[in-house]
Amino acid sequence: MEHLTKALGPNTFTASLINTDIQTPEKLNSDCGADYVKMYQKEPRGFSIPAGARCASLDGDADRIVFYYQDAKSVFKLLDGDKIATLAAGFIMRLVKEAGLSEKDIQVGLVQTAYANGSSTSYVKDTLVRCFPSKIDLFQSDKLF
Amino acid sequence: MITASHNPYQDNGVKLVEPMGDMLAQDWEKWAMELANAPTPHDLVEVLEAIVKEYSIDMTAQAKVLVARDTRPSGLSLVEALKSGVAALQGDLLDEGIKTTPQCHYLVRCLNTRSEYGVPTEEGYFDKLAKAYKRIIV
Repeated sequence: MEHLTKALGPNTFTASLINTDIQTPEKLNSDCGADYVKMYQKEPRGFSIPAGARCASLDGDADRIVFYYQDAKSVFKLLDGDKIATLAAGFIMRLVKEAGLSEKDIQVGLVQTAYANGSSTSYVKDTLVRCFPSKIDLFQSDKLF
Repeated sequence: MITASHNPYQDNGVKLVEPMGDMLAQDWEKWAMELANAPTPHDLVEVLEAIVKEYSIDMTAQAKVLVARDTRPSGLSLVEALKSGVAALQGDLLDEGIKTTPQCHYLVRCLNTRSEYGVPTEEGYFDKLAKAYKRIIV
């Protein structure tokens, strides 16, 4: 993350990093990380969510992420993979509309796995994004776009 | 990629990456299981020979293996074991040290597309991500 924020530059993106001690092996995934946050529906141990902050947790090899925050009533709110994908799809659809592109110009696809929440699939379809059923292969194949 | 993902630090494992940076092909899962569960070195060799036969692998071709690991302490000794295995079959091992799993996938694809996908370094990875993000956001 340090490298990434440097590459992006301070005007694009800033992040405060916690639990960065990779020199102490026992700390890996210990009461922290994407899996912990998702499973226990709470922030990493020892971390207090600042008001209005958007938080994220990665897992030990950084190929999983969850986002979370506290709402106005200090209730913990988790954004898992389905929600992240839905937000990203909505954002891309907004860009497409702002660019004045129609379905003839571009088609947006979203890949969900078979484990995706059914309501999230319904929501995505209603926002004009075409959904393909599961399979990572579809995403990586040239046939998709 | 030598990692056990979200597991406790004492655990370890391996994630295999396809040449184009994809996740392991489904038909390879059964082979991964057989290799991991081979009770003796002799059984391990038998499984390897079965794989060579099944896919008609040309054993004279130069094989290249890229390995990266996460921060688990057992990662180092597992990389050493891999070095011996790859050397035993006269392959080349590219040790990328500590990387994230997405970085490992990226590096494999870069190498197999002769850097068309990106510069095969950690810096190349961040440059590519940062460029894409700035185009879409800014």
